[in-house]
Formats: sequence, C-alpha cells, structure tokens
Amino acid sequence: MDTGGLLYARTPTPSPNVQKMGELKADLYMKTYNLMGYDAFTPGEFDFSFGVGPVFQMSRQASFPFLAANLLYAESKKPVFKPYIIKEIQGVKVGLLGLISNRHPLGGPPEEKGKYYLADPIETAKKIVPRLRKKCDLIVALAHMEPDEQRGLAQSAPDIFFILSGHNPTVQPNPTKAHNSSIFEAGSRGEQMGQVDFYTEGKDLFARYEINNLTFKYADHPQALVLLNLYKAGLRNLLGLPPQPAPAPEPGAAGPQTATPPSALFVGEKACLPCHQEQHKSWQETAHARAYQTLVQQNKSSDPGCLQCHTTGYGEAKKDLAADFQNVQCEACHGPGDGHPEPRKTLSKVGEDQCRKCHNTANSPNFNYAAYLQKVRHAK
Amino acid sequence: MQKFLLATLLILVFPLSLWGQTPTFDPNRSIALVFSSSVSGEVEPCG
Repeated sequence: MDTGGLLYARTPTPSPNVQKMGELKADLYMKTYNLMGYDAFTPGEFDFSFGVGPVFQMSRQASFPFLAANLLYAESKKPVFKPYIIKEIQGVKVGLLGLISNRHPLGGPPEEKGKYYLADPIETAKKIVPRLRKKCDLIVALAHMEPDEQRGLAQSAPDIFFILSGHNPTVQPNPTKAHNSSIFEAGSRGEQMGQVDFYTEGKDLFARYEINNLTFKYADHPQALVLLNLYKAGLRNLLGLPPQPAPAPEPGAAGPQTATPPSALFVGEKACLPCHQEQHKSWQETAHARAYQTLVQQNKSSDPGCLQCHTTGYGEAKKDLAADFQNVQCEACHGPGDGHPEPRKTLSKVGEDQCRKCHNTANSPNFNYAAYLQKVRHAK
Repeated sequence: MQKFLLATLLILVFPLSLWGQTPTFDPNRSIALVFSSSVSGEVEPCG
C-alpha cells in the first residue's frame, strides 16, 4: 500500500514543462508499483498539484485501486475513487479505507474549480467504519492526514485497528498508540517501507512493526531498471537532449542545458556581478557554484528531483532551456532579483530554514548550519 | 475448601511464572501489511 505523496512533488508554480516532467515520473511510479504488486494507493495534496483529473487518469493505468472515501464530486456528492476495498488474506478479511486531510486545497486548473471537494475525513470515517466493520475482521486506514487528525480519527472511529500514516515524511520505528488504534509512519522518498505483521487469536490481536530500510543491499529488479532507463530517455527527449548521456565536461565548460529557465523574476548571477563583484568572486569558490556540475558528472542532470536543488529558480520553467540558471546562484538563497536594486526591492537575508529546503536529512545528513554557513559566507 | 482447590487448580493450569507475560509473537501465523509513504523525490541519489 501507499499512503500518498507519490505522483508529484511540491509544485509552488505549476507550469506546462514541469507538469510534463511530473507526468513522466508519475508514469514511472505507476509502472513500477504495478510491477511490485501494490494493492492500494491513497493520494495526498501534492498528488493533486495539477488537479484531480491527472490523478484520475493515472488511476486507470494502475493495476490497483486508488482509495479516497472523502474526495467527492461536488454535484453528485459521490466519491471520485473507491472509498475502500476488502482484501481477504489467509482467511482474514481486511478492510482498507482511504482518507485525505481536507486542510489542504486541491490543486488544478481553473476548469476544475468547484468540481471536486474533500469532505471531513473523520466525519466520513464515522459513517463508513461501522458498516465496513460488519463486512471484515480488521480495518486499516490509509490516512493522508495531519497527526492530530489521525489521533482524532482513532478516537472517532475506534474500530480502525491500524492507521497507516501519509503526509508526515518522518520515520517512526515504533507505532504511536491512539485509543484502540496504532499509527504507523514509514518515512519518505522510497528510502523505507513500513511492515506491520499481525495475527488474531480469538478476540486478541497480536502485532509487531518494523521499518525496512531500502538500502543498496536490495538488488535492482531488471524490469524496474528497464522502466527507469525508459523514463530517463523520455525525460531527455522532453528536454531536447541527445539520447545518450553526454560525457562529463571539463571543469569550467558549459554543461548540457538541462536546467529549465526561471521566469523573469530571476535574473541570473551574471546580473548580480557588476555591483557585487566581491561576493560573486567568493561564491565562485564555493560548492554552490559547482552544484550543477556534480549532477552532470553523475548523469543526473535531467532528474527534476535533483534539479530543484542544483539549479536556481527551478519550477518556473518556460519552453526553452537555459544554461544561465545552473548551479546554486545568488537568487537561490536571496530570492528573485528582478527589480533590485530599486527601493523596496531589497533581497532577503538567508536563514537556516532557507538552507534546509535542500540540505535536508536525506540529501545532506551531516548538515550543520553554523559550519556550513562558514563555507558560503561572503562580504555584505 | 472449594476456593483452595480452585486456586490450586488454576496455578497448575497457568503457572505463576506465565502470569503477566506477553505472548511471544508467532511469525508463522502472521499477515504482513507493507506500506510506503511520501515516496516522490529524485529517482536516484543526486550526488
């Protein structure tokens, strides 16, 4: 099962090119999930970054159901996806119920506005769970919800035995007890899988939980590798790059133009240079100034997941590609420079939160704000 | 006397050493629910 945050990443400024790249990756996820034999998926708010329509289309490609009891058509009040399924496993009927937090707005194009809505997930569960309980031995909620909502769900629908948490990208080695339920969290980015083992004996339920770290000790599945290579080829095609990865260029040489150019709000580091020569010079000596080259050298320069932190202004894509926004430039930290240095267009100071958007635990496990700041500090 | 016999019988059937113990988990009888969340991200490590 998957509890959401799968198809699309956070898209602050959805644009056609970013959507196409997202669709390509979502297609890869669906094909590999089909290959792995997933049984159910409950989308979350990021999955709806481009609207409900693309998710619905993606569900047709999946060999498993999408579950969302409280995502409804506004007109008919009927659910868009199945509210739940019942899986019989070794004679035990397990009800899988999909629920999504209604605290986050659905994304999507203007024509979708008012077509769908998220009903209160807890109120929805209170209606469905008693009926579902009569049909199955055990109820499991795939809950793409905030932690307090999950606790509320456990209190309001006590017949839910297990709550598989989405939305919170944290790893919890042990479940959280909430009333009669146990809440499980399984990390993020495909680095872990949560596993709940259970059996029933009479009225007693015995269960244990473990987190499986998906390290390189697990060999790549040959078919998954084929799908991955097809994805990469498709992405290169979309970006107008040659089919075969280009060899790593010499230091200082311009790499393949895979970075998508930001909107006019971003002006590029060359525009900063005339007035900030000293700062520009010290920036050139930092790893930030070589961030894009590290991707090129490892043939990762076409992965949107990597480009977000190795280029500047990523996500503001236009049709063409530009080399001017490669690397972590001035504006990646200080914000878009369009209009600067006009009065009231002072660029922002950089705080730890800004750094941690990219220096997160997965990508930068040794990140220490004070120590890392020294590496990039420049004159004011 | 009946109470004494009943208590003796209970102790024989359920020895004191077993009282309060959590039953050991039997993996041979278990059903596994495997799940992932927030998977979206780079498909390979960026380096």
